[in-house]
Order: sequence, then structure tokens, then C-alpha cells
Amino acid sequence: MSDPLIIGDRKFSSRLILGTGKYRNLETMAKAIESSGTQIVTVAMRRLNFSQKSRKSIIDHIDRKKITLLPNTAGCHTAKEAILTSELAREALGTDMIKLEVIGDDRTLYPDNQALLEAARELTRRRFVVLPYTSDDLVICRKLEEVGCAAVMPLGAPIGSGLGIRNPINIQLIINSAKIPVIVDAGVGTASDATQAMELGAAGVLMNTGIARAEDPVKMASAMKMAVESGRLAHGSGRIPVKLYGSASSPVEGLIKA
Amino acid sequence: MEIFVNGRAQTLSRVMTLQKLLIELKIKHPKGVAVALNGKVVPKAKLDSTTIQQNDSVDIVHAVGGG
Repeated sequence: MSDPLIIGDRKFSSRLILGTGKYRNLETMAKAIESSGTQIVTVAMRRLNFSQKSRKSIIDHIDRKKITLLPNTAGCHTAKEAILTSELAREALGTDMIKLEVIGDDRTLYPDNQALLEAARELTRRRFVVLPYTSDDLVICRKLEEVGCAAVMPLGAPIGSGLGIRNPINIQLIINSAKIPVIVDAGVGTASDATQAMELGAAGVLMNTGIARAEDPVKMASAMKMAVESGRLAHGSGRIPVKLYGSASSPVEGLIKA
Repeated sequence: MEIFVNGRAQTLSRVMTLQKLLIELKIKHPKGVAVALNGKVVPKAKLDSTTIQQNDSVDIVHAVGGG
């Protein structure tokens, strides 16, 4: 595997991580996963609804031989809730990977970074592989790295907003400082947003709504696959410096005069 | 005996283990399901040896679509 994404002791050839929420149906979700080429998908943990006995589980639509599950703590508002949810996810799904999320504001869905750090510290102590969703803030990302997180996942914009990377400078500063993978999580609306994140040097991109709520999720998943790959290649290719004025690409000698 | 299952009050006719409760609730595939008793996860191997007490709070969770 050339140029793998390394999280903890696991290696992935795809740098695109998909959420599994908000799809019209599970069949579309499965097809989008397939066309995105992703190897990691997130799931949420919820109480069983006993009145829906016949419904097939989402797990039945994901090939766990090919796809690694990344359970999340979405909807948790305290460190205590996030820690219990993580433990339940580990027990239910047999994975120690956790996308750690502690919401601090219900309208923006911005994280409560203080509670997040507290939960991250405890979960790494309990041997979880912690991938925290956080703000695009260099200092909190550094603290999350210091407590032993396997990656940091700063937001590009609020979850589900499709606003793109609102502060590329902040994402750049985080990438320049971090020794662990920086995965841009949330805000991606279209392919160029994913490419931009990767061009900045992100190790990966996590998205859900941008694909699930597109008119054609399967086609958008394919676009995102290429966008992430393009951005990664461009990042490693050493782009030209930006110049204010033009510089001809064709020779300036031997011009035909009339 | 009154207990709470996923936040809802429920009356049990007799003393039982968590394993028995799962069977009564017709959860046939405990694979992909996790149980917490009073806010603490009970490993699958211990479901059969954990007895539910009066006013206990049982959470039974599984994975759903999410980002």
C-alpha cells in the first residue's frame, strides 16, 4: 500500500471517511460506500426501539471484512455520556476506535472542547483509539494530541452546513503543528471542498451530509473519492508559487510578425 | 418489580437476569447490541450472571446510521 493513512496501528489506502446518517435508505447508503472507495464508516449508538422489531440493522449493510466501523458519540453533551457511549460501542461492535464528539452548542453543533479533552484523556487511558471532532483551533488540537489521541478532526464548518473550509489558515496551522493525522471533519459541501482540505495537507476528510443529501449520493460519493485523491496528489506535487502577473507558457522568441 | 428499560418504566413479574430480559424482549441477536446496567456496561459474558434489582435502569443499545 503506497501512501497509506495510518491511525494508531491501522493502515488504510483510502483517505475518505463516510458517515452513514441521513441516507434515503440503507441500499443507497451501501452503494455510496461502495462508490466512495472508503474503508472507514462512522455509526451512531442509540437505544433499541422495541416497536421496530423487523427492521434490518445497519450493520447488515456494511461488509466488515472491507470496512472498519468507527462508532461515534454524537449527541453526547457531557464527558460522562461520551465515555459511557464509547464503552457501549466497544462492547456492541468489538472495536476500540471511537469518533469522540461532545456537543457544546445545539444550533451550531460546535464542540465543548473542555469536556472533549476530559473524555479524550479518560478514553485513551482506557485504551481506546480516540479520534476527536473538534474546533479548528491549534491549541485544543495540540492538547488532544498530548493526551494520546490517534488523530484530530477539526471542523471545516458546522456539521451538515455544506459551507466548505471556512478558515483554511487555521486548518493549515493545525496541520503544520500536529504529529498525528489531521482529518477535516464536517462542512464539506462539494468536491472542491474535499480537495481543498487535502491540498492543505489534511491526512483525510470525513463527510456525511455532503454525500447523503446530494441529489445523487452514489455519484457524489464517486466525485468525493476523486476529489480526495486529487487533493492528496496535488499536495504531494509541490504547487507553483502564486504570482500577481502573467508568465507566458509558450516561447517568447521566434514570434511570427505580420 | 419496577425497572426502567431504555428510559421507560416496566414491570417484571419475577426476578430475572439480563440475559432473560433480552430473551423476553425478543432480542434474538445480541451481536451488535450492548447492555448497560445503571450506567455501567455489562459484558456479554456476564449477562447471564447479572440479576436485575428493583428500580434498576437498563440500557440496550445498537448501532444506527450517523456521522
